[in-house]
Amino acid sequence: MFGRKRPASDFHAEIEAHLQLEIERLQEEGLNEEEARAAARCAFGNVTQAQERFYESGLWLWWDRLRQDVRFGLRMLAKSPGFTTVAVLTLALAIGANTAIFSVVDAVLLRPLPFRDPARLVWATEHFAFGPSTVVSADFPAWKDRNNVFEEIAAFGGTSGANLTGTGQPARVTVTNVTTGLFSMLGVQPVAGRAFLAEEGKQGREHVAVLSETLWRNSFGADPRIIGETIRLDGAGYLVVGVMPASLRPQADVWTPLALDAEIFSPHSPRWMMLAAIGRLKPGIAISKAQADLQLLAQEMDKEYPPQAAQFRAHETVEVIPLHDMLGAECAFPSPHPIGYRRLRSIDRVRQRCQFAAFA
Amino acid sequence: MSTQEARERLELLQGTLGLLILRTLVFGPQHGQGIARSIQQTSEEALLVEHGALYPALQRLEAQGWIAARWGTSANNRRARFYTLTQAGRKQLVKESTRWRRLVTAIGRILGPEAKEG
Repeated sequence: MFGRKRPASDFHAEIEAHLQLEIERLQEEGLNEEEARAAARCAFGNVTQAQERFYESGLWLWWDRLRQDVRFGLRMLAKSPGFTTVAVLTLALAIGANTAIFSVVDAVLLRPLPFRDPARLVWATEHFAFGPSTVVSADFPAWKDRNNVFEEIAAFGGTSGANLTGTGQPARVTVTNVTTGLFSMLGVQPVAGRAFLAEEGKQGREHVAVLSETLWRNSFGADPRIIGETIRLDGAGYLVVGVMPASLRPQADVWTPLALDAEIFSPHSPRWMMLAAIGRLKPGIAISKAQADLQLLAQEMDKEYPPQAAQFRAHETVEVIPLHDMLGAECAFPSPHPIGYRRLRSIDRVRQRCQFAAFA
Repeated sequence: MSTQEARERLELLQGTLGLLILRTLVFGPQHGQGIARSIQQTSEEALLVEHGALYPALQRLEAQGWIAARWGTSANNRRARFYTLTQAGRKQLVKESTRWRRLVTAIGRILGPEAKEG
């Protein structure tokens, strides 16, 4: 009925033809034209009604009824605002929930990480009996130099706020310390300038900074001349060497290098730093193999710690998971400041932050 | 015809007009006026078919695909819309007439033998 539509004029023409045929027939039966016309009309009945019925069968009626139904529906909804509110809220909630779930599914399952060869990237962390899951800074040099499974491994941590001064408007920015190889391991290219050099991961050379593209655009007008300028973070001077794209994770406004020869990287330090580690597996190395390798390394490391560290290192385990899974996993993030290991015990799990929730 | 005459004629039962149209078209393509005449003549003027009611019925049958329509020229050289029975229409006619005959037989049994006096 909705397909080919017969125009009303065609229907009208058919009725006219009918009346003419009937008039001619009646005239043949002996009526004069006037009488024949009246009789034909009479036999036909109500012409308007026939046309109305034709109209009713048409598509227009379908639209007319739809319009009426919608108006009626709206009127009814307006009549009972309580029900309407509940219905609208239910729908809004359902749509919102679905959107939220899809956003997570999209990030976790569908969208690849914005890094080079992301399948080989893993997240490695230590679990301690007392709570936080982190990589203790004193373990990282061993992870970096003595593992057999990673092509490269990088760490970051110490995310904190800092007052940015020195050029233009002062601002409050977030700063994350990263090992110098992190950017190249992820395969992220700078938007301007360069990434950190390996020698900038040493004490005395580490006062350099890489800006995020967002900060660069918002605070420095995307001016490439910022490269080579000195900015001040909480008063200390840092030479700007590069700008990294906004898509880079871990997110921060400014990245500065970790000096791996600093005291916090020694087992004998009174203070350690809580780090997060990302590694790129050598080709063909399974995640379980990497985990076992690091676990073995942890046991070796036990001997290098002073006796008072034995208690917190007891029951230490290592976990390695695909980086892509970080969004779904319970992720612990390093505490913002270097801390003494005696204080580790008191750290509430609540303080573990999940900066990487926005990883993917 | 007078109103009196019209009253004595039988009004069609709901849904029977379609059956009559299908039956009429068995004899070949016909236009609306021809169908109306044919039904009246064949029923020996007993049935009252309001010609206006015919067209919505034709429209319905056409939509069902039981009849097909085409403009053509009548015997006395007038343009008219001619209707033909389709294959589906033929099947429908068989189905409907069987149903109708069974109905008539059943009602006839209940009413009993025809009274001579009326």
